[in-house]
Amino acid sequence: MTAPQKSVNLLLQKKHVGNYLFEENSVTSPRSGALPNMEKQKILVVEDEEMTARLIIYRLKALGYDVSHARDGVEGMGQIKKIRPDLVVLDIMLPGLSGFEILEELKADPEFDSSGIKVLMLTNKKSSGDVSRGFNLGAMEYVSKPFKMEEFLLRMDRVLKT
Amino acid sequence: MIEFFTTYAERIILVVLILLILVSLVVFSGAVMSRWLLNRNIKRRERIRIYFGDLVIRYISGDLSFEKLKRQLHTVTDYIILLEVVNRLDLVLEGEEERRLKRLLNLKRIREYFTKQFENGKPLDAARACLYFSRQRKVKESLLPRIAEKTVDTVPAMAYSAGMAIMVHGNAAQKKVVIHNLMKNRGISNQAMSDLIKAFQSHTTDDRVAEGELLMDLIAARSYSPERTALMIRALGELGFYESAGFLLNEFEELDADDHDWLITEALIDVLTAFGMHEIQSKVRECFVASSYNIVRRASARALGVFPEKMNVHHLEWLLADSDFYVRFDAAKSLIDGHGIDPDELNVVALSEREWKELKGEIMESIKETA
Repeated sequence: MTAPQKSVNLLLQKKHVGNYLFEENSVTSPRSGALPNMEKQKILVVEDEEMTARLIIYRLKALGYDVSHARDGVEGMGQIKKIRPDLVVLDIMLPGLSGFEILEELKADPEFDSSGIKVLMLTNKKSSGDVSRGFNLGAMEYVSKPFKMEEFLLRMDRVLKT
Repeated sequence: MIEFFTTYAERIILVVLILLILVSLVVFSGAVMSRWLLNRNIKRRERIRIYFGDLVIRYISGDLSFEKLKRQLHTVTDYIILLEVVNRLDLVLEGEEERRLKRLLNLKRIREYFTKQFENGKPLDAARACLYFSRQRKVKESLLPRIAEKTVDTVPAMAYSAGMAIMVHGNAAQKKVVIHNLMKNRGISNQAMSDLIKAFQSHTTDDRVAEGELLMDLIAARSYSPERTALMIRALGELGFYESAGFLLNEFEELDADDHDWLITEALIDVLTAFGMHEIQSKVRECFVASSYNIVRRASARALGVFPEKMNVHHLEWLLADSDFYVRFDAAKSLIDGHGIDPDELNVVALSEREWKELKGEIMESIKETA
């Protein structure tokens, strides 16, 4: 005899606290997974600005990607080596290690297969110098803040399909 | 009395000790309690922030309706936290998401909150309110004259924010007064002024001519510092207001060859060159390639590279021997890039071989970057 199943919707665990109806895990469980039967592509978002990171993660999860998040350069570097993501969305201005330093470190690491990882840079700076520096260090695409989410997703998709 | 103290000394000490212990206990538990309350508030606030962050993300992603989000807002704290979240996202988003964020900023209670802040008499609160107004799509017209008045405020943040709100929402007449006030306001840095002029340009659409004419009037008034005047000249250039070319050329012709301000001269040469006003060449060659200011000689070197006249080549070659490295750099770049001269054919006898090699490398790099 099996134990009775709890009838809990794991995606939307609702909890009333004061005036607020908290839908726990809601940001990590958006609309739908667009890639239900496929092996999910792994994306690492290295972004220190919390709201920007949460928005990107939300939208990427909605599209069915397996998304991880690192809040600073050191954590980002560690995560890249640990989970070997298919794509890294990399902010350039980061505490600890900057985006450029991460790219440099990856390029210099002989154990790391830099050709297998795709990087999309995300930064405030629009100068052509930064773009070319990032490209020279191995980044494949560049999105400047402020950005349109649609454009961000389009560029990211292009990078993943390359 | 002494006898009393002698008799009851031990008891008195005991009572005092007990009292001290009690007071200490009260103070200690009070401290623990207030820390606990503080932590609880911080945690609660953080929880609400995460909650509203979540709602706003879902709303701007199209997964939650505006009405549903609005229904979740109850207290003043909710609105303040919502504002924090919206402000953070507003910095990184454009397009549809930004438009949705702006709709949140326009909630009645947020509007009322900032209107009160504007009117409470505290400059920093009013400054924050003005920055909020500048991010709105529309502001009550009756508020605009009062915002414009704030541009003479001695608190720079106040004057700047009020100026920004007028640049976004004001009409041509209000902008004219405000630019004048800000130009005269010593608290406003040149960088801040430059930002305001940029805002002025980006909100210049239908009445572009009126805006350009306004800048020309202000330049002609000659009542501002050279930094501010140069800024306005450059603004005309960035605005692409070609109608001002004749006016600027006139200003250029009036410059005294021996006693010119370097900032204004540089700005005039740069803008007139960008407008393709070849009439400036003779004065540049005759007066400004020999200016006592290296900045003006640099602008001359850049300008002479843009116009193809043969005579300019001689003057540029002469500038190759200038005492300033950057003048030599601009002159060589103009000769190579502007007049198509082979770098190896340049007469660079005034430079050492090492210096020329370095200069040539930088020029080629710079040309590549421009291309």
